[in-house]
Amino acid sequence: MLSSVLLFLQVTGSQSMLSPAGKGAHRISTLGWIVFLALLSISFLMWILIAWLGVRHRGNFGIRPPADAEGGQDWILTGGFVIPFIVLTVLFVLSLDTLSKFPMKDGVDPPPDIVVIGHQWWWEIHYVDGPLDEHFITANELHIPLGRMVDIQLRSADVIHSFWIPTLHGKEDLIPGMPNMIRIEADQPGIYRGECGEFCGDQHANMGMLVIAQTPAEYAAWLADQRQPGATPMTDQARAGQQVFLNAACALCHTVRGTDAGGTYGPDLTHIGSRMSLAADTLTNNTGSLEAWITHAQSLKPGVAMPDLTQFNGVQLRDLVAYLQQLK
Amino acid sequence: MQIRMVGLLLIVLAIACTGCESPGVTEGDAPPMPATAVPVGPIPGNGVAPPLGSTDPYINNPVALEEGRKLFVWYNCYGCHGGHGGGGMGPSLRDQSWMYGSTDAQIFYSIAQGRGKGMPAWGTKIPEDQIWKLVAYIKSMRTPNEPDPPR
Amino acid sequence: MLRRIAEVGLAVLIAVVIGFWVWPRVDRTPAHASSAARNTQLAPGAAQPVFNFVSALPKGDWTEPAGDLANTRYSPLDQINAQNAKSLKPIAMFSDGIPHGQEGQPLVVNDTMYIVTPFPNNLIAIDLKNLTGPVKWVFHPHPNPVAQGKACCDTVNRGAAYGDGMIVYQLLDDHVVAVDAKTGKQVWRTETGNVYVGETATSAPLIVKDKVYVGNAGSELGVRGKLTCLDLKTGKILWVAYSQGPDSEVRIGPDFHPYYKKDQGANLGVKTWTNDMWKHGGGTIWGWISYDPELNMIYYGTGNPGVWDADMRPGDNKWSITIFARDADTGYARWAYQVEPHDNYDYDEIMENILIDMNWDGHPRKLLLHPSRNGFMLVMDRQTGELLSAKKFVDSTNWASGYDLKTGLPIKNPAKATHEGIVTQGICPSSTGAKEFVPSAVSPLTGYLYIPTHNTCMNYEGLHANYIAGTPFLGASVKMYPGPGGFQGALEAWDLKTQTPVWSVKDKTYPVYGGVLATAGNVVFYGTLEGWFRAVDARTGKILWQYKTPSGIIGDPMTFLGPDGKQYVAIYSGIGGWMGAVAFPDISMDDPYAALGVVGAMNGIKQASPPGNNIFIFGL
Repeated sequence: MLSSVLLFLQVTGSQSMLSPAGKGAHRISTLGWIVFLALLSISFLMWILIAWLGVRHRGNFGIRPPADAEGGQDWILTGGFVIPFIVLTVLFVLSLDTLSKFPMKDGVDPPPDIVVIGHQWWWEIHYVDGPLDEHFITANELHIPLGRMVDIQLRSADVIHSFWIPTLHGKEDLIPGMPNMIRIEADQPGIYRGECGEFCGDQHANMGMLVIAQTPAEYAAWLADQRQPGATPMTDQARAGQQVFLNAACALCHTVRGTDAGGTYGPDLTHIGSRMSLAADTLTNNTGSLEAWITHAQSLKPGVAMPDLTQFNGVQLRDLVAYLQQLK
Repeated sequence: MQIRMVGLLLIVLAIACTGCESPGVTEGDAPPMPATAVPVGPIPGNGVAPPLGSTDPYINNPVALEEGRKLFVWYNCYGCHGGHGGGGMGPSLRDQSWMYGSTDAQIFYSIAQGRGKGMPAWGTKIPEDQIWKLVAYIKSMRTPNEPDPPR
Repeated sequence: MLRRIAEVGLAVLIAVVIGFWVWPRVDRTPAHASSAARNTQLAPGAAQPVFNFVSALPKGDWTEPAGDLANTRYSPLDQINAQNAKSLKPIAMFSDGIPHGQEGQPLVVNDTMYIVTPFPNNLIAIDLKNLTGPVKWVFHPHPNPVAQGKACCDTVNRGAAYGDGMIVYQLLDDHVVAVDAKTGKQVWRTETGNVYVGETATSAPLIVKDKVYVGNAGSELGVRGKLTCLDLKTGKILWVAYSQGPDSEVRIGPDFHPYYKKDQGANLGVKTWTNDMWKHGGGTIWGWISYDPELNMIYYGTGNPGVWDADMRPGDNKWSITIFARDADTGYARWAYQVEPHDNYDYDEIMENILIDMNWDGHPRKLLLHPSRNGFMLVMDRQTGELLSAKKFVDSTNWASGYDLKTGLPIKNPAKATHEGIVTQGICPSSTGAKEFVPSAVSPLTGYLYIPTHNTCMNYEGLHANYIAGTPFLGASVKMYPGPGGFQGALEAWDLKTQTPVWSVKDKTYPVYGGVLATAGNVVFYGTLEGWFRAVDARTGKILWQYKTPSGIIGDPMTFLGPDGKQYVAIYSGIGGWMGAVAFPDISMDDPYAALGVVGAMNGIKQASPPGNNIFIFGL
């Protein structure tokens, strides 16, 4: 139900920094435009001056003598020192001001609402707000409430990645062994796409993520849904699919809470049916993609940890996918 | 008539033999378990089993050895067989004694089929090439090629 | 007339009420125990006892794993004493045919000795009247061989108990079996767990009145710990108390009053875990169970919380590493005390809980002594669960500096905390503990507790663990080595009144991995991993006698009166168990992380002690 609601929300622009939709992105964008316009105008001025020189002083030394070699100190002083000094100082102060608005104090980080752990090449997301037994794990799709800053702790399980949602904020690295913090807030409800911003291996380009900003009521409803264990299959096909899931290799790497499947090396699949995309936003979440991913992940995203599982026959595969799709 | 007599005789013999227990031994209710109590799994992948003489395609392949080491930890092999295969709940994989054979294919089958004293059958679960990578890692132990040797 | 009726009626009512109050408290321990003589089981001419016993002591036989129900491991027999112990000699020796760790102790009832072997858990009955002849009978239960691959620390068994004419013990594959003590025929067998998810059973049962209490094992495989109570006659399961989960599964009800705030609250067995980790929450009960006949309560401790990587399970992880006090009939908990919230080190607290009555701070108090795996000697009030004292009994202990008696919390040393992806070095004690499960003993004559201690330290790195049912859910890379001080083990005598160590018999190379027996003859018996079986003077620690058995000793000594009325001492000799398994050929010494990290602490053990499978009986 929630996913259908989300479908009606607009995807606010592309991943373009030029259409900021979050507080962080707004600040960066503001600074960016100021710098761009300031430097563009200065450049424009320089072009005019060069053009004037070219027009005014064209010809050979016979017709027009060169300008006085002794003169021009004023020009150099004003144009070469004073104006740049003023411009650069202003830009410097503006930059510092923008930086200071992103709280990155040394010392005590605020307790995070969400912990994102980067893997090659997917995002493991832990919701750690509230009482211990209400924490849960999901993957690749981050939901945040509107109206407040969300504190996200960034960690890595292997190499350096970078958390980058261009429309919401700048990049922040996920460094193994050193937790980082980022604070994001979105202006309006919508789906914001992000990517890994630090080269991390073969599939770095296919490590996307979706951040979905929701009203507080919708967010609370989504949280409550995600905290539930995996849905019990209601149809025969889904039940058969659950058997396939538990008996084959799936449980060795994936968790579906509420069943015996407790593998922790791959993304948590307890609510995979509720996600908009698969494989770190490489594929849309539909029957065809699921079947393709299960049987030939290596062709779609070569090098991932998900092996090609070709042992299922057609019926088993359909059943398995039916089971996964009903895990909303 | 003949058959009936033979049959009757066999029955009488069978009954007589139940009294032939040695006096000091009493049996529990359950009969003795067969040696391979764990059901051996079907062959992995498409059902094409590597013949017994097969050699591991990944022997001494450094990338595959690293993968094998990763899988050794991933699938909890290290929990039973020791952090670097030195043994524990299960026997050591570093030494020279092999209960079920030491050729590549024999080690492959021990992993795929499981063994009676508690080795699970991985054949239905993990793909064939992952098992070969594990075999390659196991065979690399105590050689200079061993990835992440114990220190 | 009316007044008459009223008087009679009141008298009847009072009688009925008193009856209902008295009846459950009548001591119904087996016939051989006499409650009246409880407190005077001392050698003649002995000084005033330092403490009083709460359960009848074994007089000539040995029918419960610890001799008595309170786990004191003290025998009133005094024919063997400090003067004549030097003349002890082996009287008989038996082989049980299974060269794996011989943990636990034999039972002696009606001139028959009963031995449970390691897997396949055969029960051997030896006729004490005919020590040179064939054994009386052997019972072969044929447990599932798959269990051998699920036992974390060798395929051991810690012994049987006797009740109602039956010998009751556990099989490795999660069955409790009762065998007729005379004929050796099985009376009943009950399944208590699922070996395919990694659950096994290694501990000895406790038999109280008409009930059998058993615990399971397998925390290393993410198994949920539980205590099962069965009916002694039929083997039917009466109730099960889990070590985590909702209060209904842990059997916590309105009568539950933990002493400390940190243990109070509803459904803590779920609330102190994230991501449903409590379902693989360990807390298995593979050690010893004690019983107080007067309070009608049982006491036991639970093991580590499943995965060894602490970062995977934030929260206190209740009720792992907890001492429980439960009503013996209903199984409902009266109090619980979690010894180490959010375990970082695999410090199982399934050690024995020794119940004695002693003066504390000038007042008589019902005490519970728990020499912890984590190096602190816990003294608690067993009625309320209050922690009275927690002093270090192994000096090298550094994971915590002590316990805050007001809050009940350990004062942890943050430098020694363990985390995922970080190697923490020099943590003492190691996961094997300052003391393993092998039991200590107390003596009322000296007022000492005799503790078999370890001095082992470790490096510990948490690893991200993967849960696959039936395989280890470990998540740690551990490397152990001997601790500082030039010795790795010691038999330590601990003064109960002053809570300080008095003397210790140090073992240079290996930890003391065998149980202890104290007797009224002022002799303390114990064995070492090299195979020495020793008698030391209970007062001074002087070694009175020792005998080199062919294999390391990890079992517990017991003593009994033979058919000739003479006192004998029996002990198993056969190395194995967690640390001792390094002696087996199938562990390689070049991997210090093998066998859950113990290889580095057991250098030379393969030469010092080959595997064995013997039972020795010594006498004068």
